[in-house]
Amino acid sequence: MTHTRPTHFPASAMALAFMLGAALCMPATAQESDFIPVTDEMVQNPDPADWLTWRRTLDHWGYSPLEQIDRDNVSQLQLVWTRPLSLGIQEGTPLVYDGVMYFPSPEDITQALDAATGNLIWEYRRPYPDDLNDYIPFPSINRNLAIFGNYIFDNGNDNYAYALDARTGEVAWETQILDYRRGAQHTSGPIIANGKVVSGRGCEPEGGPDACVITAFDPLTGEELWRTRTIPGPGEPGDETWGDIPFEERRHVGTWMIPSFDPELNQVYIGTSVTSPAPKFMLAGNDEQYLYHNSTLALDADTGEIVWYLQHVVDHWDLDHPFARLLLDTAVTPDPDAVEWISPRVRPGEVRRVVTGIPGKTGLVYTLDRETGEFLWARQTVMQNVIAEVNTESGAAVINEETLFTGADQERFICPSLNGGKNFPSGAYSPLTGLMYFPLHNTCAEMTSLAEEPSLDELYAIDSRIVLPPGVENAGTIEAISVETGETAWKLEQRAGATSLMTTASGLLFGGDTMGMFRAWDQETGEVLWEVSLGSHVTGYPATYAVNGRQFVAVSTGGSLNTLSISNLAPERRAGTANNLYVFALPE
Amino acid sequence: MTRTTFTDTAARLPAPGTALAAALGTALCMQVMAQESDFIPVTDEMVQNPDPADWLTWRRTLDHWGYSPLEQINRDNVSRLQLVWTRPLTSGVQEGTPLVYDGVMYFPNPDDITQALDAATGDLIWEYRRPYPDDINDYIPYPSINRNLAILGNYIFDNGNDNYAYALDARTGEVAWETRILDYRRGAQHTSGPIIANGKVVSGRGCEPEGGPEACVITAFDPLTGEELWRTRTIPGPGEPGDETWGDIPFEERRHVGTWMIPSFDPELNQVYVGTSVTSPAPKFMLAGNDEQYLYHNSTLALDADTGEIVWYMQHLVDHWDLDHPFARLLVETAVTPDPDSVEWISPRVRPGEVRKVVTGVPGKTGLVYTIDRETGQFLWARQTVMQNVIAEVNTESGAALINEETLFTAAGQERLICPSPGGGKNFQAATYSPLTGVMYYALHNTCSQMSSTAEEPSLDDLYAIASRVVLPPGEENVGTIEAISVETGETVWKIEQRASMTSLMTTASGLLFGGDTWGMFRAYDQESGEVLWEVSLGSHVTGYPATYAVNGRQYVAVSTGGALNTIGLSNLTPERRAGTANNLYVFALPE
Repeated sequence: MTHTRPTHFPASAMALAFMLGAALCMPATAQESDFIPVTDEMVQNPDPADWLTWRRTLDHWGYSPLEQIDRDNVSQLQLVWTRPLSLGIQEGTPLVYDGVMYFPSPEDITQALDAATGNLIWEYRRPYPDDLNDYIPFPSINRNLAIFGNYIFDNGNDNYAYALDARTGEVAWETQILDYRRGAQHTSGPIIANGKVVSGRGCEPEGGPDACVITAFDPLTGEELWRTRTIPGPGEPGDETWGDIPFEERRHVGTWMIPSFDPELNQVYIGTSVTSPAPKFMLAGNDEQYLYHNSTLALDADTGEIVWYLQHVVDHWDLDHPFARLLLDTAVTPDPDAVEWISPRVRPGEVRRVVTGIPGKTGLVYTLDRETGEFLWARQTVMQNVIAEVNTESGAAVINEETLFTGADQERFICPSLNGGKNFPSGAYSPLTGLMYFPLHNTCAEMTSLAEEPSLDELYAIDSRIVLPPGVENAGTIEAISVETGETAWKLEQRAGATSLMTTASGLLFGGDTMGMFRAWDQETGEVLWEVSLGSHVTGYPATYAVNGRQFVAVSTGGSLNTLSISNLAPERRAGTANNLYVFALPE
Repeated sequence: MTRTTFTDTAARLPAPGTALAAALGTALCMQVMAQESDFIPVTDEMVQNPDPADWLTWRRTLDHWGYSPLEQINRDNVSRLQLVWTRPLTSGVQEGTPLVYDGVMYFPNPDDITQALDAATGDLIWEYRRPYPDDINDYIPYPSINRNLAILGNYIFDNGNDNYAYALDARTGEVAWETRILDYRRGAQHTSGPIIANGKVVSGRGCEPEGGPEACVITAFDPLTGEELWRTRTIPGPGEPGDETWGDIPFEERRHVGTWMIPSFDPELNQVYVGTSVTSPAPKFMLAGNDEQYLYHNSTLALDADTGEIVWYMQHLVDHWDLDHPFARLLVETAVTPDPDSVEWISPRVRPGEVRKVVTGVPGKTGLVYTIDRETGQFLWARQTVMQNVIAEVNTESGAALINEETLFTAAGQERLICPSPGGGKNFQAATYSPLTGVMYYALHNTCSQMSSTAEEPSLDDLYAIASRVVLPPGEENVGTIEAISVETGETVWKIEQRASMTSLMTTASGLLFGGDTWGMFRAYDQESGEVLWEVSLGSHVTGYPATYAVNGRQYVAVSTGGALNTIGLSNLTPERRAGTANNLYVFALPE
C-alpha cells in the first residue's frame, strides 16, 4: 500500500539549481562536499559530539557522554546564540550532526543551522493543503527529526512521510501515509531502526482503525515496508476484546510519541493512547479490554509484527500511555518499601534487559523484560486513584470501581487529570547514578461523562476541571528513581510544572519548567547549580553537542497544550509562550 | 534608597478600598510588592542626577549621553557575561527602552503595553494595556512603536497612540491621569514618550498630514494632574515669526513637521532641545517653491521649558527627500577645537580651545555632525560622516546648508540619486557619548536611493510624494558603521564597518561600548579601540535601546530585539545577514 510520489528534484550535482522552490538556501557550506553519510552504526553508537535522534540514543536515555560542562563550571554558562522559531505549538528537539543543527520548527518548517553560531544554512517549509486545519487539530507540533544516509526524515502534518537532503534541504522523497481528511496527527517524527524509518501517529477518530498505524519506510526510496494497526480487526488476535463494536467504529488508538529501539533484539517499543470515546460504558462495556489501547507494544522491526504487548490500564479518562520507553540492562532488585507491586518471578539481583520508566499519564513506573514482555515490577509516583492494584503476575491493572463511569453526566474525581502525572516532557536516565529522572505533575480532574453514545463530535466524551490534588500546592515534580530498586533517590517539588530533562556524563541534569526557568542540577542530589529565566514555557527537548571541541547546550521555549494547562495551576508563575531556541556554552 | 526584594508567595488579593482594587481594570497585578509601601517618589533631582544603579529616562540622563557610571562589568570580565533572564515582548514594531528605578524595570512594549518587572529576575509585577479605539489603525500608521517611558513622583508617563498623555502609578500600574492631546483621527503618531524637564512632562510627536499644522506640537503636562501647561507648534501661522517662510501656502495646508524622537534637556538653562522632520510632501517645488525655508522643518529647536517659547532655532536643511532631523541632541560641555583636516565647515567665530556648552551629534538623516552653542544657537562647526550628496556646503556663519542643485526636484516624474536614502545615514538608533574618551559613538548607515518625484500637487494620499529604491552607495559593500568622533576636535578616532547595519549604542564608566546590529549580534566593544570584547547572537534585529542598571550591587545589561521599519529596510541590503524580527527582552550579568 505504497503511494510514493517520485521526487521532482534530481539528486545530482544539479540539485542546488532546483532548490529555489520550497527550500531557501543561504550560503553554501563546506559541509556540502564533505558530508559523510550517516550509518546505522553511527545512529546506534553516536559520536559524543552529535545528537542524532530524539533522545540522542535509541534507548531514549536523553544522556550525553560530553563532560566539558561539569558541576564545577556549569554556573558560568553563557548564551552563545538564540533564534526565534516559527509560530505554532513548539516542542522541538535539535538534531546535531557534524556541527550542523537540524531543527524541527512548528508546522513542518525544518532549518539547518550552523550549530556553533546559529546562522541559517537552509530552510524547508512544507506546503500544506489549504483545508488542513479543518481536519488536523494541532498541525503545528513537530517534535523531532531523524537522520540516515544523506537524509533528514520527518512526518508532515499533511500525512506524508518525507526525506530532505541534509546538505540542501531539497525534498528527496515523499510518501503519502494517509489521506489527511481521514488521517492522523503527525506531531512526532521517526527513528531509524536498523535501516528503517519507523514512526507512530495520533490517529483521528474520522480515520477509523486504519488510521491507527505504526509504519516503516525505506530511507532511500520512501517505499513503505510495513504498517501495523494498533486496533485488531475480524480474524485478528484481540478482535474479541472490542466486544460487539464493529471494526470500523474502533477509533483513535494512537501512538503519538516516539518509539525506542533495541538493535540487538531488532524490536521497536512504542506506547498507545486511549480510545475515542474514553468511557468504555459507551462502547462494549467496562469489562472489555479494547486492545491495544494504553499498551506497550514490542514490534519486530523487519515485519512490524507485534512480538508482545502489555496493556497497562483500560482507560476511561484519557490517561494515554504513549510516552518514551527507556531501554537498559540492569539488576532487578525492587525494594518492597518503595515498590508496591513485584512479580513473584523476580529473582533479586538478576540482570535483565528491561523496558522501564513511566509509560502513561497515571505516573506509574513499570519495569518489564523487554525481550518477552514479562512484568517485573510497578510502583506509583504522583497521586493517582484509578488503579487500585496491579496484578503482579500479568501487570494488568485492577481499576478503582469508584472512578468508573456507567452513564452520561456522572461526575468523578480522577487523579491524575488528562494532563497527566506524566506527559510529553521527557525523563532521562544516567548510567552514572543508575537513576532515571522524571518531570511529573501533581494534578487531578473533576471529570464528567458527557454522552451515552459515541459521536465523532465528542473526541473523549468527558469534560474536566483541572485542579491540584487535595492538600498539594506544587504542580511540578522531578523524581529521581533507581532503575534497579525502584527507590526514590531524591525528589524536587515546585509550583511551576517541570518539563523535559537531559543528563550528561559530567553528573549534570538539565531541565526546564513552565515558568520559563532552565536549570542544571546535580544528578546525585538535585542541587541547583545554574539557572536562567527564559521567559516562556521551556517546551522543547534539551540537547547537548560539541563543535570543534566546544560543548553546547540547546533548549527551546514555546507554548504547548499541556504546559499551558499545568501553568494555570500556578497563575503567579505564569510565563510567556514565545517560540525561541537558546544555545549556551562556557566562556571560550 | 532601599533595594527591596519580592516575596516568593502566591498573589494576595488586594484589600477592599485600596488602589489595587482599581488596578484590576486594565492593569493586571501579579504580586503585591514590598515595594509598594517603600516606594520613594522620584524627584527632579533624582532624574537630573540619577543613582548609578538606575536608568530613569530614555538615554539614562537628560543630556542623552546613553552613559552609565556603573563599572562592575569591565573590559576584563565582559567576556563572561551570562544571560540571566529573557522575556517575550508583545507583538508590533519594537524599539523599547527599559526604565529602571530601585530594582524595578518598567518596559514600554509595543501597542502601549507597559510592564513592571523585577529587574533582577524578570518576574512580572504588573501590566497595563492601553485600550485603543477600534479604528485607530485607520488613522495611525504604526501605533505599536513605544520607545520610552518617563518617571517622576509616583508615576510612570507615556504617550498613547490614541493621542492621550497618561500617567500610571508606578506601584500598581493603575491609571493616575490621562489627558487628550489630539483627536487621533486628525492627530499624531506617538511613537516616543516624554522626558521630565524641571517638573514638567515634555514630549514631541510625529504629526499626521490629516491633522494639519495644529497636530504638529510639542507639549508639556503637569506630572501630578495631567493639566496641559503649554503646547508649541512647529509650524508658524499668520502673524507669527516664520509665517513668511511658507510663501503662499495657506496655514491649514502646512503639514507634518513632526518631532518624533525624544527631546534632551538642560536643567540649568531650562531649555528643551528637540529636532523636527521633513514636511508633507517632501519636494518643495510642490509647495511654494525650492527657495522657501518652511520653518521649522528639519531644525534644532531650543524651547523655554516653562513656556514652550522657541528661544532659538537652527534649520539644518530644506528637505526635499524625507531626510528628517529629529534625532537625539547630545548636550556636552567641551573645549571647541575643530580640526580642519576632519571638519569641513568651521565658524570663523570659533576660538580654538574655548569651553562651551554645546549641543552636538548627528541630528538628521544626512549624517552631518553639527556642534552648536546651546545657549544661543550659534553655529560652531559641522562635518560629514557617511556619504551624502544633498548638501554642497554649510554656511560657516549661519550653519545653513547650500543644496546640491543636482539633487533638487522641479517637477513630477524626475529621478535623482540621493544619498543617504530616507532610511538615513542616521535613524532612530541612538548614539552615545563617553566622558572617559571625550568621544561620541554613532551607528550610521551607508545607503543611497534612486528617488523619483511622484506628483505635481500635494495630496493627503501621497505622504512624501517620492518613491525610493534603496541601494548601497556606489562602490560600497558595508551598510553598517560605528564611527567614534571626538566632541572637541571632530576627528574620527576609529570606525568599524560591516555588512549588517548597526543599531543603538551605550557606554559605561568601565570603558565599554555596547551595541547591536540587524543580524542579531549584540556586542561589547572597547571604547578606545573598537575591539570586540564580547558578543552574542540574539537571532533578531537588535532594535531596542540598551540600558544598564544594578540591583543589590549586581550590574545588569538589558537590550531588546524586534523588527523596525528602518532595520527591515536596511537588512534588505544584506540578505545573507538576515535575522528574525521576534520581540524579546534580554538581561545579562556576570556570574555571581
